[in-house]
Amino acid sequence: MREGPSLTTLLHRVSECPPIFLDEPRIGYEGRVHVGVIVADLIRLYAGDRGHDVDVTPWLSSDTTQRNRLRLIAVACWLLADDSIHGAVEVPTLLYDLLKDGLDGLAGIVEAGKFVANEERREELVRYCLYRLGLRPAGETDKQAEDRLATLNSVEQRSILRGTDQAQRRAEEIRKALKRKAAQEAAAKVSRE
Amino acid sequence: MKGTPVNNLDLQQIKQTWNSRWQDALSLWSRFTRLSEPRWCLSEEDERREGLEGSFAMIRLVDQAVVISLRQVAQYKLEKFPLEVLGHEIGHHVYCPGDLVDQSRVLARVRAGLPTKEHLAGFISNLYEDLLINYRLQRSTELDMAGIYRALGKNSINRLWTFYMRIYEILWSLQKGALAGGTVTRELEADAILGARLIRAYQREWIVGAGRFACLCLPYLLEDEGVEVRGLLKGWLDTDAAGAGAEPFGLTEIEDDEEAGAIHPALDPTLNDASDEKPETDTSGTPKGQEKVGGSKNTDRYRGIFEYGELLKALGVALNEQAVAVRYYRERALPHLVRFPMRENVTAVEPHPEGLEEWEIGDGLERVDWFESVVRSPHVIPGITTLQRTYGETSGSELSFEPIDLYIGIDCSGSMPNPQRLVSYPALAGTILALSALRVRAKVKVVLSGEPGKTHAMREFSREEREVLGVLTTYLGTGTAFGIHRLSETFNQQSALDRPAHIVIITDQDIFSPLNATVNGQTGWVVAENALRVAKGGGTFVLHMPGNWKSHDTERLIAMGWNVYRLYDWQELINFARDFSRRRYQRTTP
Repeated sequence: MREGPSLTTLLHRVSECPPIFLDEPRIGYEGRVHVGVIVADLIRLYAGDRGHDVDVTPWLSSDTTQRNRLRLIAVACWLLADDSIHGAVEVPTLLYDLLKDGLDGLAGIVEAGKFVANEERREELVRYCLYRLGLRPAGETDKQAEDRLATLNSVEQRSILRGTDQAQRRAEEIRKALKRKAAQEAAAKVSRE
Repeated sequence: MKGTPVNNLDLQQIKQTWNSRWQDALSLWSRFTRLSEPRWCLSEEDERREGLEGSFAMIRLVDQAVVISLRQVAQYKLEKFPLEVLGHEIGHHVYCPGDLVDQSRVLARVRAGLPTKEHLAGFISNLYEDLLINYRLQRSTELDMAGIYRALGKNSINRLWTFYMRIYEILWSLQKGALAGGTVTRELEADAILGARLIRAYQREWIVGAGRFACLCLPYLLEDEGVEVRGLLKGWLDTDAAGAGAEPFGLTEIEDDEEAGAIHPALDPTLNDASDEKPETDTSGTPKGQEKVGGSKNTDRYRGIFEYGELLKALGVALNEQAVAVRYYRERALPHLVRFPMRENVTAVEPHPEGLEEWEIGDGLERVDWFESVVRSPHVIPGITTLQRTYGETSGSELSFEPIDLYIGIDCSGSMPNPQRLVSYPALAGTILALSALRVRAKVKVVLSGEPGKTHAMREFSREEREVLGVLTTYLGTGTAFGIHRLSETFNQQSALDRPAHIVIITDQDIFSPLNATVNGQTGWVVAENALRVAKGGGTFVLHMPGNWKSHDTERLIAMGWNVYRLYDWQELINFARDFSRRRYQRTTP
C-alpha cells in the first residue's frame, strides 16, 4: 500500500457530509439524488477524459432494497472527492470497483447515516475506502492500517458479537442471579436483625 | 515494580519540569480552564499530609485539588509523562466526575451493575472515568497516554487487564497486542468492542453509561475481584479518595435509571446493532417499563442506610456507622421539616436594649453588633473582640411567639430496628420533629429506652443538633418497651422548665405493660398524667399497634389529655411528623 492522506482530515470531511448526500436516492421514479450522476462526476474527476464513457448502470435501480447501498455510495463519493485522495490514487479502476460493489457488504448491515454520525463507522468507511484504493493513512504502516481496519470492520464485529451472543446472555443471566442472591441475603439479614 | 529511590535534587528538577507544563495541561481541556497549581509531594511526609496513599496522583473534589507525588512518579519511571498525567487529573475535575454529586451518581449506577461485588464500585468507576478522559485526551491531542499504561502494565496477561487494555487499543487505533498482553479470545474481543462503543456512545451522557460498563466488567471481577489490576493500577487509582472530607448531599434518593441502566451493553441497541434483542414486553404487548395507566410514582425511592453508607465509603468519605446514620436521617428528614408549634405569648413584650456582652463562637452570627465590635477593636477576632447587645423586655403592643420545647421518647427495645443498620422510621420521625423544633430555636431532649434493660438520654433540653441526632441514631435493643417511668426524671415537681414542652412518645402496644407497672409506688399511668401536667405543652403517644387493640387503654390516655396517634405501618410516622404541628397548632403558628 502507498502512503495516503491524513486520517484526521478525511474523518473531518465525512463528518461534514452535506445532508443532501443522505437524501432519498433515485429509485425508479422516486427520490431526488441521482447517485449514478454523482459517481460519473467522481470518476471523471479521477480519470479525466477517460471517465466520460463510464457505465453508470450499476447505480441505476428500480429495486427499493438498493436504497441503503445507494445512500452509502453517495456518502463515499463525498469522501472520495477530497483532493488529498484523488491526488494519491494511481489506478482509477480501483475506484470503479469500490463504488460498483465494494461497499455492498457494509451497506447490507449498517445504515448509511451511521457512517456520518457514528465516529467508529466514520473511521471504518475512511479506512475501508483507502484500503480498497491501495492506500494507507499517513503515518501508519501497512500492518497497523490493516490491523486497525480489521478492528473496525463492521462485518467482522457483527460476526464476533453474534458469535458471542450466548456468552453475553450468560453474563447477563449471571448478573441477574447474583442480584437475586444479594436481595435474598439482604432480606435474610433484615429478618435476623 | 518501583525503581530506586530518587534524591531530592532530581525531584526538584522533575518538579520544575512538571510545573512548567501545568498551563499546557490546562489548555488541553480549554484555554479558559483554571485550577490551582497541584500540590507537589516530594517525600512520604508530604504524601501523608495530603492524604495520598499508595498512588502517585489523586484528585480531591472538595477543594478541587490535584495532588501529585513526584517521589512515586520517579519510582514508577513516569517522569516523561507530565502532560499526560496532569491533563488526566485535570480531566477528572473538568470532565468526569467533575463534582461530588456526579461522582456519587456514577458510583450508584456502578454499584447497581455489580451485584455481590459492590465493594469494587470505586475501582470500576475509576476505570470507566479514566477511559472517558484518556479517550478524549488521546483523540484530541497527540499525547502518549498508552505509554503510561505500558509502564504500569508490565506485560500482564491478566484477563481483566487484557480486556481493559484491548478497549484502549480499539479506542486509540493501536495495533492488537500493543497494550493487551494476554490472550484475546473471541468473547473478550466482543466485550472490548462493546466497551469501546460504550465509551464513544456515552462520552457525553457518561453517567448513564456507568451501569452498563459495570455489567460488562462483572464477569471479570468474579474471577479474582480485579486484585491483579488493582495492584497494577495501584499507583494511579486517583479517585479513590476523591470525596474525602466532603459532606455530599442528595445521596439518599434513588434515581430512576440507576437500576434500569444496569444492563449488559450487548442488550443496548445503541451499542449492539448485531443484537436481535427486542424490547421486553409483557403479555399485553406493553414494553417492559412502559406504564399502561400512569398517574402513580414509585414511592420506594430511598436507598437503605447500609447502601447509603457504602456509597459514602466508595466516595472516599470516611465516617463511622453513627456519623453515617446522622447524615442519613438528617438528609431524609429535611424535605419533611414542619413549622414547629409556636405559642402566643400572653404577656406581649418588646425588646429593650440594655447593654453589651461578649459574642462567642456558637452564638448566632446575626447577633453580632458589628458597630460596637469595631469600635472596641478595628481588628475583629471572632469570639475575642466581638460583642453582642443584650436586651431586656418592656411592655409592648404586639403579640410575640415562643417555641415549645420538645421531649422525644423513643422505644428502643429489641423489636425496633437498629437505625444504623436499617431504616428506622421512629428515628426518622424523631429527626423530622427535632430538626423542625431546632429550626425555631426550641430546645429538644431525646430519650431512648428499651426496658427492662437500658436507657440512653440527653442530660437536658438542648439546641445542639449534633447531640440530638447523636442520641436519636443510637441503638439499645434491650427490653420490650419504652420505660414510661423515665418521664418522671424530666417532668417532676422539682422540674424547672424554661418554657412549656411537648412530649412525644413513639412506641408500640407494649407500652401498656409499663403503664400498668408500679415503680416507686407510682403506676405508669400516674407518671404519664403528672408529666403531662408539668410539661404544660401537651403530649402525644404515637402507637404502632394492631387495629383490634383494646380501645379502653388508648381512651384512658386520651382522657388524661394525651393525643393518641395510632399507626399500622411504621412508614406512616413520616406523615405523622409532617402533620404534627398542623393538626394541633395551626391557629397559633405565626
